[in-house]
Amino acid sequence: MSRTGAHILLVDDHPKALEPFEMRLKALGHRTTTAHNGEVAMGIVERDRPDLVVLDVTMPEMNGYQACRAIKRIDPKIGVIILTAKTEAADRFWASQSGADDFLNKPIDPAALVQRIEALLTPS
Amino acid sequence: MSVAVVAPNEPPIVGIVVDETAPARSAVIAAIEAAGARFELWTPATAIARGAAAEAVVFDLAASSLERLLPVAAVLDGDPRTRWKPRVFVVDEDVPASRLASFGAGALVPAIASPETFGLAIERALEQAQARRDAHALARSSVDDLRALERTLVAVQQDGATLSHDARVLFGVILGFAANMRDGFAGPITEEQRQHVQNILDASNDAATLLERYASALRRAIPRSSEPAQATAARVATRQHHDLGELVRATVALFHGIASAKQIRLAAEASRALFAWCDPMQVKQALVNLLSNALKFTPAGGRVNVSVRPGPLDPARSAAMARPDVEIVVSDTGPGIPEHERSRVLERGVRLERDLAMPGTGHGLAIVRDVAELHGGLVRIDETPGGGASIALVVPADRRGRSGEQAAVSVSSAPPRAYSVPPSSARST
Repeated sequence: MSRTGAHILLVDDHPKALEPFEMRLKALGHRTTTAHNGEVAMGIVERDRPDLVVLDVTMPEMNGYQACRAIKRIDPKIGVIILTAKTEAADRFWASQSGADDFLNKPIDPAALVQRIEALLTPS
Repeated sequence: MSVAVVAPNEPPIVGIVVDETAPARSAVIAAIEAAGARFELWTPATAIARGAAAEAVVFDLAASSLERLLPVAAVLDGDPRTRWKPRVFVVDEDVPASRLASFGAGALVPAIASPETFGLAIERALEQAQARRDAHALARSSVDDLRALERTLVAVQQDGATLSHDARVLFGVILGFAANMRDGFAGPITEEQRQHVQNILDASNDAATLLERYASALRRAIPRSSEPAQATAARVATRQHHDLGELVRATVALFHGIASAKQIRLAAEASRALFAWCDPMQVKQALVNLLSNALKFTPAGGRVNVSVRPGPLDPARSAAMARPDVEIVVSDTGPGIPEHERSRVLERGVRLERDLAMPGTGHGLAIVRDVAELHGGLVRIDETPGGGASIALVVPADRRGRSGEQAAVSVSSAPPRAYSVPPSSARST
């Protein structure tokens, strides 16, 4: 069983991209916060230490890979899922280099994303 | 490159290399002027200094001047600006025949020749110079054109990548909301509504996959040296055990509208489940291409039939097989594909001459072949009894003990594995 009541930070610069995920995660008893660029996301990570962060890659100021590295420096236990429309092999490579725990491509069924999130939240 | 450029309306210059002690022959001068050119009299020193400015060079040779004038030819040979200038050697009777071979390339004209012969020699030399300049200009503009084309292709590739990315982001939004509606996160939903939403989801997923294919095709078309592996990696199939019977039924259903509009009877024989180890999205694309072709080439009143069945045992392949292949066969009653063209039509961009009037790019069957190769399978082209084409996409039924994995990662360097067999040795069904 995955744990409920986790704090999940969702980061994407597209205003509508996060809504379906938020809706579903809240309905499943999780707490969500959203941010629309990497810098704002880092402020939230510093202050609130969420359990897991879902990161877009293509964002102004700080891209997802940079944000991922910074998050893992603050606390390696914070799970990070890279969720991007970038599909080249190089993108998967950069995600792994930045310490991400998972790499998923857009578009994604939110059911599948939630499954990945809960898998990462479940202590193995 | 410093090719002497003659300004328009300026008569071309023909240099006459002549011994200071001998006057230039009037017949040579008359021929140059008759050809619309201007002459300059050159000593060996001025010949070397002015060579690049001239269109052609005349050597006015006598036995007494050979040793002084011939070294000029060697100097002109050593300079890229003058090496190609056409030469005319006007040779006095006293020059020994044994020396003629040492002059190098050029026209030989005896000093006693007629004015017409001089005229012809000068005209030819000027024509050669002009041809050389034209060829240079053409080469230069071809290189410019190619560079411009390359820049355009790179821009198209970048635009395509951006389009694919941005559209996939938007499909993410569509998919997100639709999936939440499907799963009841936006309130109760009837079974019929749920089915409609699922159709939206399926189409969105397919559209996003097509966009990614488009971007990936662009990446392949213009490989970047910094990412050698991606051309192949982007195409490696994500495989699963998938029921091809179901896939065929669902895909054929999309074509019933087109078929009935063209008065073609379209039928699928896919009653039982037949699993194959494949990337369903790729197989679906291959089948879409095969069906589009079949419906395009089949005349009204004809038939297009799709069947899924276990593939025949191929003696060359059966040793490594745990289970036989599965094949999807699309047969039509169109004009068919002549036997000698069957391997050619699988190549990218190839279209049969008789089909050139019809819409198409010649990529459809090449993509089918790519999909087959990625799966370690093949494409087989036969003749439908009574005429049309019968094209089989053969993919492995099982992942165990197959060489398909290897074929998938090395497809870019592998020779084409597609082949065709004559109808007489076709499968036994």
